[in-house]
Amino acid sequence: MNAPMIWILFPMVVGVVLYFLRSYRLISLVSGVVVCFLLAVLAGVVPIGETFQIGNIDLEISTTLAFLGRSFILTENERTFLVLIYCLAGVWFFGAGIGWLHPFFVPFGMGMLATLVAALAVEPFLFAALLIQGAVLLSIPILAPPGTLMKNGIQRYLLFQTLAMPFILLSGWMLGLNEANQNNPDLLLRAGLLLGLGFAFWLAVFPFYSWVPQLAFETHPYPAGFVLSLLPVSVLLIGLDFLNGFTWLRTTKELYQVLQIVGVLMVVTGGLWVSFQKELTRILGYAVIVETGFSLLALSLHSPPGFNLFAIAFLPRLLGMMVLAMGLGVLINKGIATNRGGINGLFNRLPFASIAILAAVFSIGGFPLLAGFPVRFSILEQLSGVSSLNTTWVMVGSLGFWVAGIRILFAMVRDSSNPTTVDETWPQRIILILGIVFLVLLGLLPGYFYEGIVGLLHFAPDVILPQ
Amino acid sequence: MGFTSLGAIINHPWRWWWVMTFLAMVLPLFMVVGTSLCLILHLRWRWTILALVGQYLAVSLLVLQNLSLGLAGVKLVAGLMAGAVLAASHSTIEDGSSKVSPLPGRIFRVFAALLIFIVVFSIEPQAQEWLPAGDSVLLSGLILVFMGLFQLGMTGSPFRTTVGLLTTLSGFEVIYAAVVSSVLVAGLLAMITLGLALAGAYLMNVEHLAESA
Repeated sequence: MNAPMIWILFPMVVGVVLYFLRSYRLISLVSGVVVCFLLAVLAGVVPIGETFQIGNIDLEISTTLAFLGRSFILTENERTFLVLIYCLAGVWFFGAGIGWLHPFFVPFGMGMLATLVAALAVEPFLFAALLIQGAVLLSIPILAPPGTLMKNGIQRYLLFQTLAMPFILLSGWMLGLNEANQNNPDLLLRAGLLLGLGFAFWLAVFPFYSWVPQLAFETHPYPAGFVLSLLPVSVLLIGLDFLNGFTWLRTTKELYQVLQIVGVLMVVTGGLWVSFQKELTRILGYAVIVETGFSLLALSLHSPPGFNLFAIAFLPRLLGMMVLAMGLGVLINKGIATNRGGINGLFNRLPFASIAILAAVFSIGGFPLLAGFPVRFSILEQLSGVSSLNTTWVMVGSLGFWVAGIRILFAMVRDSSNPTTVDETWPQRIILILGIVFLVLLGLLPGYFYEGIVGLLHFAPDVILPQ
Repeated sequence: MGFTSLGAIINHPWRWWWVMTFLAMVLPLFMVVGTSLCLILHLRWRWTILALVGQYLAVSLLVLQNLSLGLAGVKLVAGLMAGAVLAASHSTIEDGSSKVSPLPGRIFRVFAALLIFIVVFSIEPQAQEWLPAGDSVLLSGLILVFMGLFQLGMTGSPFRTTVGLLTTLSGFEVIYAAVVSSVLVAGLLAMITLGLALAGAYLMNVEHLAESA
């Protein structure tokens, strides 16, 4: 038994089996949730590459799976990532019961998960580009299920994600060439440029992000939230793995300057656009942009606290996205328009969904006592030591979400003179309340939740060492 | 005089070398220029598919300069299958992607393509510093990449977008084959070509599929 078989092949097989069982939606959903949580618990409990005992039996899960001359390697260092990604998927699948129970969601979602884990595990790293492309292709039926009206957003998503792959593959070849040429500065510059462009396409970095709000607007927010949570987080971690693998890259000061400028631009532009937004689903897209901007800012600090913040930021990011997508999903499933006119007086009809949307928007904006606040505050604090101008701009960007939240709040409580019955089912209420409670708990007691997630950095040990 | 020169070539002891050089280098380049031009003209979908298949034939000939016959064959088969998938899906639907471009639009596209060819020919020597590939390979690869990007910028139809993506990717594959000759990479790229065609076919039909599919 080896780790890649458990965390890559097994979910892939489960995905294929569930595809054939897709007509039995509940069976598919329950199986997906159970398998994901089982894999998350297994990753949390069982050591990889070390002998452990169950009763009197000695067992060992080996780290490597060889495949066509290449290796998939999952070690102790990747355990936190495995726990995070499978927990995340389990919660998304569980929430699909109220958000969006489509027959394609769990089977293709499992396939995406397995491919993304494979992308992180594959050696040499350049194959990650091909596997990420595989995950993108698997996400298409999730984003555009049969019967969907075809629009441009999904095509642009496919286009931008596909364009990333050639750049990453070429940079991989150049980096290999550089090793033979003993750090040729010209080659390094070219490889760095290509690598940067590849990641810019993958992460929808400024100015390649216009497709993100468009995709969020044109697709159901629940599957869009799932894909836009899973994909950028995995790519960011693969980016960290690249930094870990190449000393010249992580010691290049210009890289961190570029990351900072790009991060500031993403937060500022994302925040400004969102403050003028009248369509709620687009906010989900801008949330992805701003969150990625903050992740890049955390990386740009190039210090141990910065790297810790980079890892910690995933938790409020993922939770905020999920609560926002779930709230919006409830609205759309009830046929309510998600524009400013449609949400007038919504608070009377769907109070829990309304609060969930507001809590998520304010959390993404870094509102005090909500999940996003501790991370935002710490990043701003660290950034202020580097550049007060950039700090000011980032604060302006964050305020954009506050403005958006206040405008949504005013719209939702308008026309409250017409009382109507609450239109949410109990399962919806329970799941939305849980999401809101966790958003508050993460803001009130960050230490309890953030301690474990720092373990994500274990798979990039060289990065966190002081340079 | 011309006839005498041609006769001299035909009777030259190295005539097969000339023929092979023409087949390996010049013919694929002309094929790439011709097929990519056909693709951006937005002709009827059958012609587009034929041009795509011709383009993959040129790609496999170009790749043959650096990879084995087997790997070049893999690229050709993947391209043919991609074309078949798109053709099979397209024949079942009637949508805007079947729309033929009007004459002024075509003239504009031809001029834009000429501009692209000029740009590619002028940047090729600089590109050679970055990517040490043969002239015909690099020129063909760059033409495919730029023409693919041009197609992508000019359309909103899933069919044309897929064809544009396949064109761009095949251009990259031509260049990449000159620098990396891994069997696994070639196999995975072929899978991605097929995956893109399947995704494109799915997106072309998604509106017409039953919701419970």
